[in-house]
Amino acid sequence: MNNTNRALNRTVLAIAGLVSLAIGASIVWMLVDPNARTIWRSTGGTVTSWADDVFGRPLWAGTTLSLAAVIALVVALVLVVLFVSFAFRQGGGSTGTVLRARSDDGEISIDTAIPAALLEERLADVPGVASLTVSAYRVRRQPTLKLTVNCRRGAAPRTVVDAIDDAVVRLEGALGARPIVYAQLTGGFRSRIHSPIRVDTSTTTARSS
Amino acid sequence: MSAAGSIGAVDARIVRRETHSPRSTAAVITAVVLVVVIAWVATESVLFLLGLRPLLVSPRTMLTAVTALPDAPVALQLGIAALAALIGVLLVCLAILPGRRARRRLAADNAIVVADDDMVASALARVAARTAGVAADAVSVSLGRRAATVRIVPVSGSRVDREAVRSAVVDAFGLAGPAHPIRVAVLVSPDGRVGS
Repeated sequence: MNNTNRALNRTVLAIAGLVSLAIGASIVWMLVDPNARTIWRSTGGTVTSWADDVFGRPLWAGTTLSLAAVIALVVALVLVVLFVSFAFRQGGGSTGTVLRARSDDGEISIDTAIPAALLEERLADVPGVASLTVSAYRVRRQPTLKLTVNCRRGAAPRTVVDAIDDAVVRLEGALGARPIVYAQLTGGFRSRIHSPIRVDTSTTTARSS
Repeated sequence: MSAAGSIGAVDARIVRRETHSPRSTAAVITAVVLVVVIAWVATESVLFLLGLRPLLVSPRTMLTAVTALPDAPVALQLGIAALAALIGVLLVCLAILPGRRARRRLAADNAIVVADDDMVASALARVAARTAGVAADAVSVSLGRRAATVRIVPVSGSRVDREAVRSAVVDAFGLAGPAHPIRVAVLVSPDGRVGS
């Protein structure tokens, strides 16, 4: 329902995984093949001397700051900002407005609270429905309602689904338009909201003091 | 249902996204680890430039240590390789595997309905308990993608009609309107329980 970029998530995981695998594989290769050890040492030596060279050219006299150091720090900063914004762009896409209607007299927008109240009223009496939460999202620019229906233990899915179907038809009658409705049925074995009612049939004998 | 093309596309997108994991947790953990490592290396570099003492190791020491890796003890090298390979395989699997959630779509006329397998299993358990004539707590159902297993602890001294339970559960599942049928196995515990 939300706008998480799942392809990007999987790409980040795949790249990080492949880099990690490559590190593991190259160490194993080095353990097996003596030539690889020579290549590793000579490459390491080249990189170290190159780094010493570029970081050892100060920008002006009397400083340790070099152009390479500035570039490296800027790159590090950019990477940190990219990864932090990546972490924060998970989710999103929920909206407070379900429908917008324009007429000659102006524009009306219908808040999520209205269909939520209508649906809750319709579904509260259905046996098997313990509670209901309603939120609204935009999926491909289409207004979409998300119903999370928390069901009681053993509730028949057909009864609940039929009740939802019926409630959606009535919602359309009330709103004059039908938003896409997605319903998720949750609950199950652990969702006994109320403990079973026990009737205490044992009579306590009154003691005469 | 959903005759219009755009509605059908939205419909398919919602069902696909709700029945598969977004991999957000793994992606965020990876991003946070990378941020911490990059920030640490950058901090060490700045301390090095200012001529201050490093937090752990200076960037130059890191580079020489990596260069000298072939001379490190074999056990250490193997340990690093194994850890890197393990993390790599885990991340690649997370990236490639579909990551199905234990949910399934149920047929509905005016809404898109996806039910948690827990919820469906609990409904099937109730039907099984009623058919077998045992208490609700004496039945457990585990529901997979293509198969369900019903385990019943019978009331001691009474028989459970396994075939009746099986057909009742299959009927109840079919009535819910899933996309695929399931195989149902009914296991009756050899030991009964008094008052089960």
